[in-house]
Amino acid sequence: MSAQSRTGPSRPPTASPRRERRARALIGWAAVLAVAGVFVLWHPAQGQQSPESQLPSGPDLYQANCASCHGNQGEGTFRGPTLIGVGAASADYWLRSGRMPLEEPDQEAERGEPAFDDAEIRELVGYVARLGEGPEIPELELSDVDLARGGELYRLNCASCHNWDGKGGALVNRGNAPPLHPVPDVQLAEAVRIGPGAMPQFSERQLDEEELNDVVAYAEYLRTPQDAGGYGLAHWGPSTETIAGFVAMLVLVAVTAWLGERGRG
Amino acid sequence: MTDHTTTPLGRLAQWIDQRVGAAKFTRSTLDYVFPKHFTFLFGEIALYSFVVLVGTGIFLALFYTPSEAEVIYAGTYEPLRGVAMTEAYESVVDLSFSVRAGLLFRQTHHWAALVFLGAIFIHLCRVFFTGAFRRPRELNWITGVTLMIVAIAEGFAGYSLLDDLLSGTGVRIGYSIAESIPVVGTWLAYWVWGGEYPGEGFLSRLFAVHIFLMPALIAALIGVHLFLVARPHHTQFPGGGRREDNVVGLRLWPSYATLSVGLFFLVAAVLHLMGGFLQINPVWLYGPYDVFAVSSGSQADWYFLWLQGALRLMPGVSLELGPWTVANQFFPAVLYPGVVFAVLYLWPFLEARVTGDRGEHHLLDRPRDRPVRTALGAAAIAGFVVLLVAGSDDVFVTTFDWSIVPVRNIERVAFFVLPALVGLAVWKAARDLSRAAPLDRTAPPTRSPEPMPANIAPAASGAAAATVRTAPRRDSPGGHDVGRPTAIVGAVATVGAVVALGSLVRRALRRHSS
Repeated sequence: MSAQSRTGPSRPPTASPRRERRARALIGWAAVLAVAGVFVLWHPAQGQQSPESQLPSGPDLYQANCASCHGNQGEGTFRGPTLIGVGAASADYWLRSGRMPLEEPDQEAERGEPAFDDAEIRELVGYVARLGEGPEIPELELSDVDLARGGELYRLNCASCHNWDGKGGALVNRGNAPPLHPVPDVQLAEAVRIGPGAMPQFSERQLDEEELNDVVAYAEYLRTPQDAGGYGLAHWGPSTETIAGFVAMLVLVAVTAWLGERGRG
Repeated sequence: MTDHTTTPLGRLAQWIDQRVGAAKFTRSTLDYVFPKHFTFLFGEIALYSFVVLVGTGIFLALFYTPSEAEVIYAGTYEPLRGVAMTEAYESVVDLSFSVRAGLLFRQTHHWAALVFLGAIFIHLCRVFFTGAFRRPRELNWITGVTLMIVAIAEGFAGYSLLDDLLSGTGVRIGYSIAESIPVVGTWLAYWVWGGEYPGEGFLSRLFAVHIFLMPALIAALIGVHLFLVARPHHTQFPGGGRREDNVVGLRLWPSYATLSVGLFFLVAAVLHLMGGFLQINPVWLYGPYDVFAVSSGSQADWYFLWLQGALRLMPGVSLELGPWTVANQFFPAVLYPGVVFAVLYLWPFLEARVTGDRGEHHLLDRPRDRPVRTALGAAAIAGFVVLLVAGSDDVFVTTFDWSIVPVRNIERVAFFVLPALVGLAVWKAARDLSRAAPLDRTAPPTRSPEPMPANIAPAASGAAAATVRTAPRRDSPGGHDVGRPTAIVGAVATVGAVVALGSLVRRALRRHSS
C-alpha cells in the first residue's frame, strides 16, 4: 500500500555510475514493492502476508476507516453511534459480516464480503475492545449440546422474527430480519449477545453460555433439517405448499382433459 | 341369450328380483347417460380426493390421540427429545417417525385436502361460468356452496388437531375471530373452546367434529349433490345434436364407469406421489404449540389463506357503538366472508332477478356469451388472488428483500383496482369473442350421427320446459368402451405409487433413526 508513496519522489538519473546503479536498484525495489502491494490489495481476504510486511495497527486502521463516522476516540458522531462499550463481539460481528464499513453513511448495513482480512479484523476488534468493556466474542462448544432445549429457546426467542426455519421474516418499518442460513455460528452467537439492528440483546442473565450453545446448535441444525417427508419445498410452509397444490390441480385438470378426449359422444 | 333361470345362481337372482324389483332399477341406472366434457370431471376430482381423504383418515385416526395432557417426548426425533408437549402432538410426531408409512398417509391426507378444496373451487368456477346453477338446479348450487363451506371448516379442524406451533397459531386467531363477533362473541368462544383460550378438551371436541360430524355431513351433502345432478340429468354444452330435452354422451355402464374409475386411480396416484415425494406440514420442525411462541411466516392452508390476507389488509380500525366495541377482526374475518358466501348462496336468484330469465336451462352457456357474468366472476377471482398474495406477503417480501409496508399498501389498492380492471378486460374480450363467433344453435350434429332411440320426444325448443320433465333427457349415441385401459393404467400407477413410497418412507425412517 505504502510502496508507491515511499518511492514517489524518485531521483533523476545522474552521471555517476554508482549513483546510477543505486537508482536502478531503487527502481527495481519499487517495482517489486508495487507488485507486492498490488498482490496484497487484490487478495486482502487471504491474509497470507509475508513476514517482512508491516501489519497496520488497530488505531491506524480505525483512524483510516472508522473514525469519520464513529469519531476519533470512538465517541460517535451524528453519522454513527459510539463504539465505547460495544465490546469485541460487536466489532467482530459487524466487520466479519461485511456490514462495516459502509460505503455511504446513510446506506443500510447488509451482509457481504468483509472489507478487511482476518489479521486486520483482529487488530480492529482489539482496538474497539480496549475502548470500553462490552460483550466478548462468545466461545462456542457445539460438540455436546441439548438440541431440544435449543429448539425450545429458538421458538421462544428467535422464530418470531427469523421464522421457524431461520429464513428470516418481514419487520414493519425496520427492513427484514435476515436469514440465519449463510451465517457462521460465531456470528450467530455474537448477534445474540449484541443485538444488532432491530434485534434485542440477550445478556448472559437471559441466555447463559450453555443455552447460547444450544440455540446456536439448533440454528445450525435448521440449515439442513430432517426432511423425512421428501422434498422440503424450500421450507416456506403453506405458501409453497399452496403453489405445489395448484400445480397438482393443473396436472389433474390435464388428466381430465386427456380422459375427456377418450371415446365418442 | 341363454336362459339364466336354469342355473342356481340365476334362479336366486330371479327370486330376489321378483321381490325387490332390482333389475329394472339397475337397468335404468346402468343406462344413465353422462354428457361428455372434461370440465364435468372437476367435481369428480373432488369426490375421489374425498375418498382418499376418508381412506387415509381412517389410518391416521388409529394412531392419533386427542389429548391435551402434557408428556415429555422420548421418541426417535432427537431435536425434540425431552421437550414437554401435548399427547396429541406427540402422537403426530410418532405417527410421522415411528409408524410404518404413517408419514406417507399423513402427507397424502394433507395433499388430498388441498386438492379436495382446489377441485371444489374449480368445479364451482365451471358451474358459475357456464350458468349450470340456473333453474332447475338452484338447490344443487346451494348444496354445493354448503359443501364447500363445510369442507373449509373441516380442513381447518384437521390441521388444528396436530397442535404444532403453526396450527396453534391458527387456532389462536380463530379464537380471536370468534370473540370479535358482536354480542355473542365471548360466549361463543367460551362455548366452542370450553373456556378461556386454550380451553379444556378443545382437541377432543375438534377430533370428534373432524372425524365423525364433518365427514358424515360432507358425505351426506355429496349424496344430495349427486342425487340433484342425476334427477334432472347433467347439463351439457349446446351443439352436436345436444338439445334442451336430451342428453348426449356415454352410458354409465360400461363406458363412463371405466372412465370414472380410471380417474379415481389417477387422482389417487397423484395424491400418493405427492404424499411420498413432497413434504407437507413438517410438524417436527414447527415444534409443539406454546402460547408464548409464534413464528414469523406463519401462513394458513390456501383455502384459509384468503381470510388471512383479508385480516392483514384490513386497516387497524374498530367500531365504537356506545358501550360496545366491534373489534377490528370482525370486519375482514366475519363480515367479509359472510357477505361473500351470502352472495354465492343467492347468486342464482340474483341473476334470475336481474336478467328476468326464470326459464329452465339444461344447455350450458359459453362464458363468452354471458360477458357480464363472466366479467364479475373473473373480477371476484382477481380479488381472491390478491388476498392469497396478501396472506403470504411476508414470505415473498423476505425472499426478495422488499419492505412490507409499501407492498401491503399496494395490495390494499390492488384489492379494489385489480378486480375492476380484470372485470373490464374480460367483459370486453368476452363480448368481442361472442360477436365474432356467435353460437349457432341450429348447427347440424357434429359428433353423434346415430339415430335417436324412439322413446325420446322430438325436439321442441319452444315448449322445452314442459317436455323436459315428461320426456327422459336420455339419448346416447351408443355406449363405447373407452375407459378400461385407463382404469388399468391408473390402478397400476396407484398400487405402484403406494408400494414405492411406502418403502421410500421406511428407508428414510431407518436412515434417520439409526
